[in-house]
Amino acid sequence: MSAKTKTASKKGFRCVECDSGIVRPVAAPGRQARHRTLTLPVPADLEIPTCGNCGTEWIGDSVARKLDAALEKEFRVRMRDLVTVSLARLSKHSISKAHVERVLGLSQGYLSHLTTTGDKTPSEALALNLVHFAQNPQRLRSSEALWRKISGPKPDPTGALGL
Amino acid sequence: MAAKKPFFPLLDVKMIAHRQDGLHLSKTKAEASFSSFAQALDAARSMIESLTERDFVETKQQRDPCDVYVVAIDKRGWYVKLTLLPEQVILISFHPLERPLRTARGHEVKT
Repeated sequence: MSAKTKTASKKGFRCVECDSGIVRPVAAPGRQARHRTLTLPVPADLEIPTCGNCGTEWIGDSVARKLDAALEKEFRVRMRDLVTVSLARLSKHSISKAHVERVLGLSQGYLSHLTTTGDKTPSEALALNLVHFAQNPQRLRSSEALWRKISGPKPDPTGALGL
Repeated sequence: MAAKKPFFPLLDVKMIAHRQDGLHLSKTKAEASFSSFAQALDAARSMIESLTERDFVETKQQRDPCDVYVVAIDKRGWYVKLTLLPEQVILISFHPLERPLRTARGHEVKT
């Protein structure tokens, strides 16, 4: 170790953000963290090294692993809920999961699998598409029309966009 | 005239950052540029592993010294500020450049 390095207490280290507080593991309710596209609650019992003065939270490997796992679990629940609610709304318009799967180019049974088992996280792109279809089922029909327009021997992507 | 050198020897920085929990970065800054904390740490480690003295800009004397580097990642310039504790590297800044920056050796890195 270089002689130039600083000394730090085993119980914590001085915060380099504010240059005065001590950083120690803190577990507290009411914290949030960004994960992918959402800001989600951090479990109250998860300890994050936090400055007692400025509140800056410092992330190392152990904390990153626990935090990412907790946030991904919550993210999955929220995306699945969005997918489930959207599909239920589409079902009221007599639009089946199989129909949606065909339009979105998904494997048959994919949406059922997604909503009944907990092992996959729906992507934001899929959840967004389903929400848009549920809000306005005409969008699903427009999507089908788009696939027809760019099929065949001389597709016209510009015309398909209505430009 | 000899170019300025980092306050913290890069070999020490790399060795400590490579260890489990040897690298810490602020949650807010990790969130701003990455979609997960593991991804932020992976990117930070790769960046530190690739650092050379050619990337060094200056040592800032805050309460403790902090070495500033500028690196190009995927053709984009990144601003890096770090300090060294006995058992960990603290990455104080790690974000895309807001303006072009010149290294101590005179090489300009663009945003």
